[in-house]
Amino acid sequence: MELRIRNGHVIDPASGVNEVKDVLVRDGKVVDEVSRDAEEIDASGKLVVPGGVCPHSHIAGPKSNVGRLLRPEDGRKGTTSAGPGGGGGNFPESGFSLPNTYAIGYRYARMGYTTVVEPSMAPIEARHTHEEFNDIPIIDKAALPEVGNNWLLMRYLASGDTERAAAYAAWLIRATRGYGLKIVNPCGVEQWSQSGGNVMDLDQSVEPFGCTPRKIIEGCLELNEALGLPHSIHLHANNLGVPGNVETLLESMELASGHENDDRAVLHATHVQFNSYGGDSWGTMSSEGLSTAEFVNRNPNVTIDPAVVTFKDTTTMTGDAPFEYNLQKMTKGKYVGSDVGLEGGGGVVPFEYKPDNPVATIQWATGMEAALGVEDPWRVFLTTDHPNAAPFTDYPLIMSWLASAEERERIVSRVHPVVNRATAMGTIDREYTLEELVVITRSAPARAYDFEGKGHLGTGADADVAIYDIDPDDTDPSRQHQELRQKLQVANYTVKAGEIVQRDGEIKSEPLGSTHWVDATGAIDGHVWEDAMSDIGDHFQNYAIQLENYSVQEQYLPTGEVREVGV
Amino acid sequence: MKTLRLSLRDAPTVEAELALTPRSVVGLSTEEVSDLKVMHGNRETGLVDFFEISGETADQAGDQRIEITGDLAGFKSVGRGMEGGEIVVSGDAGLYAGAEMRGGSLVVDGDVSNWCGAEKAGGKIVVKGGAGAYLGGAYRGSRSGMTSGSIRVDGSVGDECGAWMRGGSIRVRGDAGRMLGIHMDGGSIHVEGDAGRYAGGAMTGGRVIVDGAVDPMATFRRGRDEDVEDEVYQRFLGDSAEGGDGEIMTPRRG
Amino acid sequence: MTICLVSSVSVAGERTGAEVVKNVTCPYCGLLCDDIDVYLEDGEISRIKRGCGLSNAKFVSEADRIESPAVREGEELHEVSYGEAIERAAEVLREAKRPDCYGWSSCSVEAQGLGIELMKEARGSIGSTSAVCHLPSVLAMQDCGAPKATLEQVRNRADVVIYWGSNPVEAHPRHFERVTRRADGYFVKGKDRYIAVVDVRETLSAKISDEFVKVEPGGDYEALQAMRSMLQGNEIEADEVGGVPVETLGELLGRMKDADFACIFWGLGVTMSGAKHRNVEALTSLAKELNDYGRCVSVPMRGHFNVAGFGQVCTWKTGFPGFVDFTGDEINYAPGENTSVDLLRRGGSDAMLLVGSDPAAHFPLRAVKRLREVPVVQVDPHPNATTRFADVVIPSALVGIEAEGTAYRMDTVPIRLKKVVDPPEGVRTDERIIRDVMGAL
Ligand code: SF4
Ligand SMILES: [Zn+2]
Repeated sequence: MELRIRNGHVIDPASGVNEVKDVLVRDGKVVDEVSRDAEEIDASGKLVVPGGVCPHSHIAGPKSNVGRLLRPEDGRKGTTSAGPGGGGGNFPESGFSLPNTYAIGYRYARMGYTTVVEPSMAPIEARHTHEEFNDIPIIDKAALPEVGNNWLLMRYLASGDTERAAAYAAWLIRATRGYGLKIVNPCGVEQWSQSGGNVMDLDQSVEPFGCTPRKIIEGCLELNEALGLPHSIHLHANNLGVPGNVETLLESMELASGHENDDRAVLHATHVQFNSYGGDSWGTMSSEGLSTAEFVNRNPNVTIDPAVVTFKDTTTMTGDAPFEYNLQKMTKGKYVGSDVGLEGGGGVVPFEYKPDNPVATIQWATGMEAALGVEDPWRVFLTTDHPNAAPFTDYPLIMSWLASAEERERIVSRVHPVVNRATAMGTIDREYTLEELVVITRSAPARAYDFEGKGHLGTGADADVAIYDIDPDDTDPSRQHQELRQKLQVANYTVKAGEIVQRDGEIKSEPLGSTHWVDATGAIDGHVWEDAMSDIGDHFQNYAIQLENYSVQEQYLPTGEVREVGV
Repeated sequence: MKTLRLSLRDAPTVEAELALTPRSVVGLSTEEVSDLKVMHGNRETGLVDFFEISGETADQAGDQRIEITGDLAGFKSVGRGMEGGEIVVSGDAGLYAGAEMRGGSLVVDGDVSNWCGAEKAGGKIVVKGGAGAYLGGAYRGSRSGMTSGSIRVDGSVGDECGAWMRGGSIRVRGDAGRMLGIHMDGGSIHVEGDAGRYAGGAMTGGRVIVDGAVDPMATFRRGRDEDVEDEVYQRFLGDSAEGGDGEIMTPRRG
Repeated sequence: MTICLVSSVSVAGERTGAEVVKNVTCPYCGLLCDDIDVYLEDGEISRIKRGCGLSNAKFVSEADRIESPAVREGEELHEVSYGEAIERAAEVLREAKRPDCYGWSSCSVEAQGLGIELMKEARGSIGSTSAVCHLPSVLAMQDCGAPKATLEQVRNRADVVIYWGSNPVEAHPRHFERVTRRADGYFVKGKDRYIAVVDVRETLSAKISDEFVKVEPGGDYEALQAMRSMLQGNEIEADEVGGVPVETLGELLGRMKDADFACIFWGLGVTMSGAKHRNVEALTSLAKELNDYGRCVSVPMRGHFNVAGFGQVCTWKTGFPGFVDFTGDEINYAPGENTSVDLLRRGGSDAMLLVGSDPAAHFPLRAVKRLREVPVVQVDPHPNATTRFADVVIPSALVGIEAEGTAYRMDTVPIRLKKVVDPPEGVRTDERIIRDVMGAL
C-alpha cells in the first residue's frame, strides 16, 4: 500500500526538517518515491509529525489490571460505545484513569501517538503484561522488567559480580521479553517486604543481601552498557513522594558520571516530579523541579521525564510498595498492595489532586518546573507517569501549558497560594516552541530507547505519522494555547505502519502493533553464562513456579520484534 | 402540572431499560413520546411498543407528571436520574428505580427491586410495597451512596439498605435485611420493624434508628440515651473497627 | 547457552515404551502446581508423578465425555455434524434479545477472551462461575482493596499463616506442601511457621495445624471487626464474638501482630456465608491494618484452576471483572443484576451459552426452572445435569491436557498450560469452538 501525505508542514527535528513538503509511504515505511496510484491525504495548512512516542506509561500488566479491578467507579467514568457514532473501534471503551486495553490503543491513536513503553513489568507476571499488550490495538509497545529488588541481582551486585549480574539481567530481559532495565526504589521494596520499612539513603544496606541502592544503581549502570542495551537504565529513585527527597535524586543521578554512551544518556530518571521536593515536612515542602532541571543541564548523560500533575481524580500505581502503603494512610481510601516475591512489589491507591491543596499545587509546579527548566528538549520527555500524576489523555493539556506562559499565570492565580512561596512558577517565562514540543513527545523519547524507525520521518522510518489541524506558520501557541490543546487532543489523521488508523477521532482500522523486546544474551561469555545459569537454577528453589515454565513463550508474542544486541 | 399517561399494554419478554424522565418528554408531541427509545434487551424499540400513551407534556420538567399504570417489574431505571417533576407508577418497578435521582418525586404503588434510589442526590421516593437490596446505596466500587433527599418504603427492604449513605433520610415501615447502614457516613435511616444481622457494620457516621429488634455488634458501645419521637432510645456508638462515629438507636425496653 | 525458552521437554521415561512430559501444570485447582510429570503410553496418560489425588483423578481416570455434537429434537438429543451444531448455537444467540453466557472457570484465558468478544458481538452478557465462589472477594476488593502477595512471598517469608474458612487439605491438597507447612522458604522453614485454621468445624486442615479457632456460622464478620477494633486499642466488652471467646481472638491477633510476615488465606467459608463480601472486606482490612506492626498479606483460595483468569481477562478487555452486559451501547457492569443466577431468577435472560459449567446442579431451583425454559447451548468436555435439557451440545477438549493455553493461579500469577495428549477424535478446543460460533454469527 502506498500513501502520499501532500503539502503538509512537516516538523521532523531528528532529520532537521521544518518545512512544507510531502511525506511518502510504501509498505509501512517512509520512502523517497511512490507511484501515481498512491492514496493521498491533503495536508495543506496542517502539521505533519512522527507518531508520538510515550516513554513511560502504565498501560498493561498486573498493576494496571488490579487498578481497574479496584475502581469500577473509574471504569464507569469513561464508557463509550463502539462503532461508527461511538468511538469507531471494534470494542466499547471504559475508564478514565484506568482505560480498558482497547481504549488505551484508541485514545493514544486519537492523540497521534503510536508507540508506548510500559515501564514496570514484574518479571514473574510478565506473561500477563504481554497478554494485555496483545489486546491493546494499534500502538507499538515495549516493557521494562523491574530489577531493583531482585534477590539474585542484589546478591551479585552486593559482591560486585557485575559479570554474572549482566548474564542474569540478559537472561531475565529475554525470559520476560522485556526491553531494558527498570529500577524501582532499589532495596526499599525488599526492606518493606521483610519488615514494613524502607531504605532512606543510598548507603542503607538491606540484609542478608548486604546490598545498597548505590550498589544496585552503579552495578546496573555498568552492566547496562556492558550488555549494550538500547535504552539506558530507567530509575525510579528512592524516597519517592517525600519532602526533601530531591537530595536522594540528585545523588542518584550523580552516579551516572563516569559512564558514557555515544548515542544516548546512560541514566533516565523517571517521573522526577515525585522525587524533586525540598523542605523536611509537608508544611515546609517546596518544589525543587528547577534544581533537578539544572542538574540535567549540567550532565548530558542523564535524561528525565517530569510526570506533570493536572489536578484530576486519578490512580497511583507503582512498584514502590512502601510508598503506596504510606499514601493510603493519608487518603484513608481504597488500597491494593501487591507483594511479588523475590522480585519486588507494588501498590495501587486512588488519588485526587485538588488545586486548592498545597501539596498538589507544589506537585504541579514541580513537574512543570522540571519540564521548563531543562534547556535541551532532547533530554526531557513528556509524561504524566500515567495514571500516577494524570491520565495520558492530558498530554495535549500539558503541551499547551508548556507553550504558554500566559496560561500558566492564570493557573498560578487559581491554585493554592503556596505556589508563590514554595515554587518558582511565577518566575519562569520559557515557552516551548512547536518544534520543541515535537522533540519531547517524539524525537527525544525515540532516541532514548533507540527505536530506530520511530520519532522521525526520514527515509526508511516506520510510517507512523500524525497530522494535526495546526498550521505552524499561522499559529502562536502561546496565545492560542486552548486551540492548540484541542487540536493536539484529536489528530486529523493517525497513520500507523502506513495505514490510516484514526481520522478526526474515529478509529478506522485497528491492527495489532509490534511488541519490541531485546535479546542481549549474545553479549555474555559462555562460562559466565553457565555459572549464572547454575545460580538461577539454585535460585529457583525459592519459587513456586518451575524454572522451565517461567519464561514467556513465543505464543505470547504474535507480533514480537526482537532486537539482538551483543552478537 | 401537565400529566402524561402511559398504560402498559405489552410487558417486555426480557428486561427493558425505561430511560424516561419528566425532562425527557418536555415539549414533545405524543407521537414523539411514542418514538422514545426503549432498549428491550439488545433490541432498540419505542415506548409505543409497550404502552398506550395519552395526556400532555409540559414546557418544563418541574411541571411534568407522568402516570404509568401496569406492572413495571420488567422495566429497569424507572425515574433514574430524574431532576424534577413527578412519576407515579401504579404497580411494581424493576431495578434502579429512582437511582441517581436529583429532584422531583417518584411514587411506586407496588414493590421495587434492587438499587432503588442508589447514589441519589435529591428528590423524594415513596414505595408503597417493599424494596430489594441496596436501597439508597452505592454502585459497585463507589463509596458514596445516597447523599440527600428522602426515601420512604412502606413494606420491608432487603440487605445493605443505605450502604455507603452520606446524607438524606430513609424511612422503612417494615423490616430491614442484613447489613443495614453498612459503611454509612451520614444521614439517617429509621426502620420501624426489625433489622437483620450486622446492622451498622463499618459505619463511620450517621444514624440508624430501629424500633423493632436489633442486635448491635460487639464493636458498638453504649452511649447516652436519647428521646426520639417521645420515646427513650438507647444509643450505641460504632463501628469501632472504623473509628466508631455512627449511631444505632433503639427503644429502651423493660 | 542452553536455557530453553519454549517449554515441553520430553525425555525418555523410566519404563520402556513410556514417555514423560515434565513440569506439566495441573488443570484442577487454583494452586496450578506446574511440576507434574505426566507419563504417556501409546499416546495415553498412564500415570502422573507429584500430583495429588484430585489431579490424579483429572489426568488419569476416565470421566465420561460428550462424544459428539448434538441438537435436541423434542425430548432427545440427536447427534449432528460439528458444523450444524455451530450453526444452531449461533442461531440461538442471534435470536435472543438477552443472551447470557456463564462458566469459564475451567477454560484457558485465550478462550475466555474470545468468549467475551463473542458476547460483545452477540450483545449479551457474560460472567464466570466466580458468582458461586469468590465474587464476594471481588466486591470486597472494589469497596476496600486488599494487601495481596504472590505465593513466592508467602513461601519464603511467612512465619504466621491463617487459613480462614478454607480447607486446603481437601480443596487444595498440595498447599501445605508447596506454600506453607512443608515448604521451606528462604527466611523461614515450613515447620517453624505457626499455622492456624479458623472455621465453623474442625476440618482435616484444622486437625493438622497448630491451632483451631472455631467460629459460629455467620460469625466471621463480627469476629473480624472485633479484631480490627482491638488492633486499634479498643476494648471489646463482650465475652464472646461470633462464637469465639474474645481472649482467643486477642491471642490470634497477637500472633499476627507479632509476626514478621503473616498471611491470611481465605476460602468459601468466608465468601459464601454470613456477611459474604463484607466478611472479605473485614478480613482484608484487618490484613492491611496489621502492616503498621509487621507485614501481613492476604490471598484468596481460588477453587477452579482458572476462575481467576476470567476475572483478569475480562477486566483488561472491558474494565470490569465479569458480569458485564453489552446489550446497551455502553458496557454495563453490575453483579447482582447481570449475574446469571439473578438474570434467570428475574427472567432477565432468554438464552444461555454455558462453557464448562453445570448450573442445573448448582443454581437455586427458581433459576433452574427458567434455565429449562430458555434455549441452552452447552460447550463442555463432560456431560452433566444441565446436558439433560441443553438444546445444543458441543464437546470440547480438556485444556491443560489436550490443549494449551494460559491460566491464572490463585495469586494471579499466570502459568502456561501444556498439551500432553490429543483430544478425542473430532473434539475441538474451546478457542476453536467459540471462534467458529463467532464466525457463524
Ligand atoms: S493441589 Fe491442586 S493444582 Fe496441585 S496437584 Fe492438586 S489439584 Fe492439582
Ligand atoms: Zn511509573
